[in-house]
Amino acid sequence: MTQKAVPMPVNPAAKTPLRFGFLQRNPGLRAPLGLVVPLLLLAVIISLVNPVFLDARNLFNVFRQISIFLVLGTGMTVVMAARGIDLSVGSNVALSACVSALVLKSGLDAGTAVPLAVLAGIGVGALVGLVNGTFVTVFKVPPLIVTLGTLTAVRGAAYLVMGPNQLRNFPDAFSFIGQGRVFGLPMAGIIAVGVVLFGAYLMNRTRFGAYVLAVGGNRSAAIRAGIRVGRFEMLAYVFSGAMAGLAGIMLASRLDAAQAVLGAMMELHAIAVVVLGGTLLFGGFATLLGTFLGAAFLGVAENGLLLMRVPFYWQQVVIGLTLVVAVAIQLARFRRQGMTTE
Amino acid sequence: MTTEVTQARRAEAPVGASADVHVRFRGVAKRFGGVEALKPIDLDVRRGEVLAIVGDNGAGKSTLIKVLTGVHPADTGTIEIDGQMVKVDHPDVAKAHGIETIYQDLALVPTFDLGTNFFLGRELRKRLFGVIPVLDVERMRREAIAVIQDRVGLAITNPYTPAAVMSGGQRQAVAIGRALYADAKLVIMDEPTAALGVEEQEKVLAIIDRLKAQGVTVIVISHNLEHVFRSCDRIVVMHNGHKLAERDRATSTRAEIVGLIMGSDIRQEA
Ligand SMILES: Nc1ncnc2c1ncn2[C@@H]1O[C@H](COP(=O)(O)OP(=O)(O)OP(=O)(O)O)[C@@H](O)[C@H]1O
Ligand SMILES: [Mg+2]
Repeated sequence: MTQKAVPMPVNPAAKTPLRFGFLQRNPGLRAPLGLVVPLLLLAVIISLVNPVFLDARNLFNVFRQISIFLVLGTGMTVVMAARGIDLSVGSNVALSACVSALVLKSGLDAGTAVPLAVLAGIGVGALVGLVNGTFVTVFKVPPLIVTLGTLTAVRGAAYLVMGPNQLRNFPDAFSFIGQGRVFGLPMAGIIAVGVVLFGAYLMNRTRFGAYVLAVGGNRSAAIRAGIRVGRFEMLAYVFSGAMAGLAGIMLASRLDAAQAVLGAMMELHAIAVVVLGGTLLFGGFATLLGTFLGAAFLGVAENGLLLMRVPFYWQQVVIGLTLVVAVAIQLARFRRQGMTTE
Repeated sequence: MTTEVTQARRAEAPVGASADVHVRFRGVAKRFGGVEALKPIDLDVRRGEVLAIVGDNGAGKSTLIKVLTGVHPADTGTIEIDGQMVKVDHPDVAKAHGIETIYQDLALVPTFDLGTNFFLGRELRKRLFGVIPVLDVERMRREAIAVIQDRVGLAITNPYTPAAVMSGGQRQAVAIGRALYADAKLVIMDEPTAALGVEEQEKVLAIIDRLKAQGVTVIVISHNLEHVFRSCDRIVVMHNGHKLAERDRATSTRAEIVGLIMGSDIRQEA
């Protein structure tokens, strides 16, 4: 910004702290707390039906499963904060995983191939984000349409680079990303939590986050404040794309395989997780703790359905309905607070 | 008919007038698609004056302001600020010249609180552990409270309230405080007293007086002629995208201004 803040003496009277509770001061932490009780309730019900739920191995798996949603959800949180949406992340997971796998299998020695594959996967993801961002910010195409288009186009691109085949058996260093343990904790989970914390830092403590939120909360106010809104909107999509790339790498590593069908419908998961957590669909407010709890809720729910041997198609029904209900609850709560959605 | 009026006024516009001109518009025009929101306008805003812009809905008042603030850069014409020709094609340009605006909708982000709204676009930062740059949320909040309490004269009861659920007066206070903090030389207010209770309207009028006392130039768009006559030095009447008339408050009457706004006094003006 060209304008420097003019330093001003602080009124000593204003230093007398007004007393407000921790949660009152941190709406980002307060908003998603409503999810804690349903989450615990769900866990109790599932463990009563099938005690296997509480096995360390099962919980470990749930955490590993959730880690992908956390990474995608963090990207989606940033995009939704800017009043956007990214439907292309599932396809982007597939394309990134395939490109990474091709690099891994290109005949380079593992020491070169693994870092290169990671860079390529995240890079391809970010590139897809750049395409999304360009259509949204430069050509002003609504994000829903842009990313619906890339949802299809990028899936096609994944088949173009990979064909119908599957690549398997990646170097150990690559497998470590999705399968390894550090101090008994899943590496994937550590990465995911790191991503969420980074997302929380971005959204709450950086200009980038403030501007992304401002674009979502009141675009014209952001423009008038001299914020280059297009740039930050663009960066939101690039970030989401890069996170999809990272998720693709984590998935390929966990499965030790990559093919073009990966990641189907993951966009729905990512969106459900974010909305469930309390990030506003129409921008301006984001909560990464919410995204974390939302991912935990959905992960536990899916695991529960699995443990209760509910057929797979029911999972789809549940996820789809969860998304719609979460949006309905969010809107109702918002109206109750006397806020409008426009 | 109205076109003739503009041309007549343009011919008699002072050329190379005195140095106390803060902003000089010459032939400034703006169209939105088929709508000529602003037909070529000449106008001098004098340094330190409180200038009212009045006119019917859709007369072009907001547009006139927006070409000066860079929100809608002019299609044609020139703008001089402090005697310097300035191409105002972005809000940053106007701000760099000490022009701050309080918009009709106040330009607040509904989900942001006092501090983040106050410092929107010029956030304060510090370094965590001397390395990681982070927004200094606490300091932004403190300074926003200080400015609003000291200079705007409004007590803050809960600084964590998002703008969406603030009262109209609180929102206005945040917006005005934000301009004061930026050390504005020219403050523009679009309908500052609309949507406010009587007590809060008085506060806004007092703030305008205070700005004037500090030598700040103020441009006020208002539909409230009582307020205009109480706080302004000069009055510009807009009609259909034209500058229809310019009057000194001291030598004008409310009846005359009302007549001009209705567009019934065109003959007298010409
Ligand atoms: N962004 C825009 N796009 C298209 N038309 C616009 C835009 N802004 C203003 N106009 C049109 O330009 C004309 C002048 O509008 P303007 O907002 O300047 O009026 P105003 O005098 O401020 O009115 P009000 O008292 O209602 O605020 C109107 O016909 C309006 O519809
Ligand atoms: Mg207006």
